[in-house]
Amino acid sequence: MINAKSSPYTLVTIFAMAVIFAMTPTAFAQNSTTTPVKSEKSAAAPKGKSTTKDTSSDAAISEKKAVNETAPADSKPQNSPTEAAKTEEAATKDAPETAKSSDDQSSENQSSPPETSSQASEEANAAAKTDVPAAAEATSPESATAVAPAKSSDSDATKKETDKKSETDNAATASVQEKTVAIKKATAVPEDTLTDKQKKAEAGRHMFVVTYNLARPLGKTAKYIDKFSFEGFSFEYRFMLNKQLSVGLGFNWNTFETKKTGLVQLDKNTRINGTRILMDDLIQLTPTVQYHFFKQSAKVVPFAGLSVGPYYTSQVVDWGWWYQREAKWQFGFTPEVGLRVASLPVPLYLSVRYTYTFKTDEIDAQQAMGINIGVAFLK
Amino acid sequence: MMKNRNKIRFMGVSILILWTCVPGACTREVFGTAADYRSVVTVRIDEDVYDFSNIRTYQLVATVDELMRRSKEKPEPLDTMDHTRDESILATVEAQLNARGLVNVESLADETTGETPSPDVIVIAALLAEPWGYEGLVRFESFNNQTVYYPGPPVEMEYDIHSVILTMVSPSVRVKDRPQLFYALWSAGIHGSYSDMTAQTIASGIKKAFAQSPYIKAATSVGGEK
Repeated sequence: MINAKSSPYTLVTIFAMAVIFAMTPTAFAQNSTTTPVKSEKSAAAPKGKSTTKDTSSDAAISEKKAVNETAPADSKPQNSPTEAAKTEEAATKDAPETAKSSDDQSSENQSSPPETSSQASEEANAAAKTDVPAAAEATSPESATAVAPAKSSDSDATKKETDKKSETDNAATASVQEKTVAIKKATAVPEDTLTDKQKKAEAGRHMFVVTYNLARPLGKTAKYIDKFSFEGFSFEYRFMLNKQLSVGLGFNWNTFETKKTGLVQLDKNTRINGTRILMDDLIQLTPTVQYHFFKQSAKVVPFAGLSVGPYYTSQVVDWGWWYQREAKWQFGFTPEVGLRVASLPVPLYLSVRYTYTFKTDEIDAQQAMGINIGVAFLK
Repeated sequence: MMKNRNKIRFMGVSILILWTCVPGACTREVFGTAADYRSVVTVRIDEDVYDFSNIRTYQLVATVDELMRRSKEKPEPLDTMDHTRDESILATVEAQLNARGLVNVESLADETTGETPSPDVIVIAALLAEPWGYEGLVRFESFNNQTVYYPGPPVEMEYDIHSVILTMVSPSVRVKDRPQLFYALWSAGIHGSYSDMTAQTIASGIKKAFAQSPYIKAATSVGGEK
């Protein structure tokens, strides 16, 4: 609550807040219209009180406020009660004029505050020089009735001033908002295009995946060949049943290779001692199913999938002059997790696969953990 | 716009494919040196067909013959074999047999008649003049001046040219009540490229062949009874 006893710091703080408020219209766009009204209401709240003293003091406060706002640098603290009374009386007497002048000058206040402050000072001085009986008159009922219209006209003036100010603020806010919108429009990605992309991505139902495969043998496969494989590729077609579930057919090939030397018991009647190259090919042509955790319009789409079906396993021991080969079909499965980065110009595809095939009479169970890097196009 | 996209896609896929061929990333294992081609193969017949623990004596054929297919279309061998290492080959084989307690029947010849007892096994050394498999299609003519086929290995195996082939047969093995002299009980292939094969490497290969056939040993000590 603002009253005569409010310290100058409070007023300065309120003024500074008002300036900041005016300069940041977008940040407080919704409050910009209500806050001044609130302050106006709070300033006009004593209007309903009938005591002359209060009325006069309110008028004086309004006057002081106007003076302080327009010329804070020239305003002097009134320490003695007599001086305060004199100022009050003068303000009461000259209230209409002051209000009028402040009303007239409200638009000029911002452009020429020094003039306004000097004018206000002169008026204040003139009021101070007025006779004491004038002050006594001010306390009489007549003067009270005379003061009342003055007070109301003063409040109207303040109200008008505040309205004008808020209008100015609103105009400034509106212009800044318009500028902000314009800047956003200029810098933002065209929403129409993005929507089209997203729609297109979501409308795509055919996915083609090509990957380069790296793999590490595990289990019995690692006992046969324990070397990391840099050879392998896969092709896969997926049909999107809906936005997140797909089925497809995948061809995956991984080959493991290593070179060894030593004695080998090929079977119970055959032994070979020498250098050999071991090769193990895991080839699968299996149906697949995937669940995509996001819709295809997302920039990155993680997924999990499973392949179950026949695997063709070929194991070759090459001695340079002779080779031995075992090739059989096995049944197996391959769970897969990965992600598709669709936001890149070439949609990147990364996944990790674990392959397990069940043992047959001729070939042991095969296991491998693969890393697949490639591209995945959605049409 | 679409053309640029396709270009980018094409480049991406190309880079991906090329990366798979980066040296070191996917270098295929190869046989780089002549030593890589050296191998010693030993195969034997099933133990229920022939009991190797009953061997006591042996006969070593004194010549190293060439194994090749001879027909009207190919009257002469395709390659000329180097026989300068024959003596070394025979000496090494004999030493290995003796080292395992087997007795050469030549040492048991009758002083008066000069006859030798029938050996338990006959050992033949040969050079392979052309690729050869388990099928006994190679004619072996040097044994007792008879035209016979050289016995193939008891287990399916294919040897490359220039291999040294050791074969063990037994006159006691009978098939359909007939002695099958050239039914191989044991076979060894000492394989290597022609340029790499020296007397030393061949001798090393023969030693390996016997070492990885521990079942070839005499049933009793030299000169002892069965």
